[in-house]
Amino acid sequence: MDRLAISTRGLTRRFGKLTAVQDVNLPVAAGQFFGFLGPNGAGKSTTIRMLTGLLAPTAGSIEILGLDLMANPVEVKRQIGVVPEGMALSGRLTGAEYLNFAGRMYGLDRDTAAKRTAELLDFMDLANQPKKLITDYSHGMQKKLALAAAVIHGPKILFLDEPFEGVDAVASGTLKAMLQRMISRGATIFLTSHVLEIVERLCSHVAIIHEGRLVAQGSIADLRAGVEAGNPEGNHKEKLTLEQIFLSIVGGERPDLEELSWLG
Amino acid sequence: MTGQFAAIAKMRAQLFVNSLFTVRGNVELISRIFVILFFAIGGLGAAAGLGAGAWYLMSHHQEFWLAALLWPVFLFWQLFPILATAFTENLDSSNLLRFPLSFRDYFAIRMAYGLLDPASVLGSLWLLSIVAGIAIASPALLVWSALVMGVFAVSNLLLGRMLFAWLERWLAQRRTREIFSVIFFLLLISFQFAGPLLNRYGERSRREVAGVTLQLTVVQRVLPPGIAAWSIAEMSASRIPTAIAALMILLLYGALFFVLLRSRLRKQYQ
Ligand SMILES: Nc1ncnc2c1ncn2[C@@H]1O[C@H](COP(=O)(O)OP(=O)(O)O)[C@@H](O)[C@H]1O
Ligand SMILES: [Mg+2]
Repeated sequence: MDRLAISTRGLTRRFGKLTAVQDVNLPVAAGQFFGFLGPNGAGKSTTIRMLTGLLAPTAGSIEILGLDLMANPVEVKRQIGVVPEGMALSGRLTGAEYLNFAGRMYGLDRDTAAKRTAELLDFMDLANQPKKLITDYSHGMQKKLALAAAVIHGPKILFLDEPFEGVDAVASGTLKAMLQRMISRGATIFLTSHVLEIVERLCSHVAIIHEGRLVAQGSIADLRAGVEAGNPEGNHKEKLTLEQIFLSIVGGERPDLEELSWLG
Repeated sequence: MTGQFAAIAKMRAQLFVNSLFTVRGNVELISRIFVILFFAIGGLGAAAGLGAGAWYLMSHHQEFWLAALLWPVFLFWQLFPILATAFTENLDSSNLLRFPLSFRDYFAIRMAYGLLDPASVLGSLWLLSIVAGIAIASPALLVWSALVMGVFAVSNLLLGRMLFAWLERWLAQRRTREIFSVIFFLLLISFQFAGPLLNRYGERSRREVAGVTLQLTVVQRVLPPGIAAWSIAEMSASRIPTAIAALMILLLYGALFFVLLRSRLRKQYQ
């Protein structure tokens, strides 16, 4: 039950003088839908790049599915899928060409790659313009294609960096349907977001990162209980939203509206 | 593994074909024609010129001046890919690193990308034509000059990949690419003026000016193009030990570039 899909110890990344991620210890159990939350610049993308072998940590260790990432990068990458921040697509390919390529790179044989490509394009509603190049895709279509490429080999863990960023409601419905299917199949999903509603709606467990440090982690219910306990005089007739929890933990105050008085 | 290499080769071919046949608007069409003409005429013309130059220098016993032919090749090979990133697809190492590739395969693929680079293709063509020019003037030097130029080509390739790997993050930024595209056009324009300017001085004084510059820049002699020219000149004067020593230094350069490239990619790969 408590098998860990992801486990980091002392994970740290510095860029020159800036410490983007500091001493992060993160256990994510297998099968969880995990949300990694934090404001812009908190260190979410840096963390996800380290977890997927795209960026070397300055210090600390990473275990994915019980394997040391540094020692077994190839074995780990076979079992995970990732949609990095920039999506890492090749612009001047068609969607089908790109998915076939991704499938083959993940070790699928030609026929399997072609079959899954067709199925994924269909599921993602991308099949009706087969000649269209990825450069000409809308942002939402690109996000869908990047997700398709990340799941074509049936990964056990899926890493998504801001998957719903700039995606319209229809496309984000398709993305969510895909993610729910992965979860029901037993996969683990690790997604980052700075949008609290998304995480609140989808994720069972969350961690909050702020200025490179983990400031909270657990199930949303746990976090809620924690905030209520530390704040006994507060009015808790209504359930705290994740946003309230977030603000009380990160200590963020609303920007001073006085300063924008000219807005009227 | 072979499946992955085949997939990458196929993907690169598709990228190439797609970008040939998708032209957006007149500006892109004109710039593409311009680029193709530039490469075809400039590339072949330069090959002919370099070959003839090598032949002339060898038959007039001016072997030392081979360096003057190798330097432009060297500079083009190193600078062009960096300037050209302004116009090419944004290369991002996570495009490859997300897939289960061993470090060896990753390294091999990065090298293969370098081989297919237009600068490498043109650079190799030019070196080949220099070898041809040398061999026509003095057939006995064919094997040695081919060997030296081969090592020179490999060290150029390694150095080019190394610079690219070190500058990759920086080159990926939009702003850098914009700056480079401006520099690129300025360079193209300045070439137009270089010819007439040089022609204003007589053949003689031109050689003297260039001579002083070359002689004075000691640096020139210890860098790969100078070393390569030196090795061929020494062999042509039948000073075999120094010719071999020079080749060894060139090999050391290649090895140094290899080690630096490897350590850079190793860090990326982690
Ligand atoms: N390659 C890099 N070089 C230098 N600084 C970086 C680099 N990548 C990220 N950073 C810095 O690290 C911090 C965390 O960035 P990031 O992980 O992208 O945040 P998030 O994804 O949470 O918005 C930021 O201050 C960012 O500017
Ligand atoms: Mg980010």
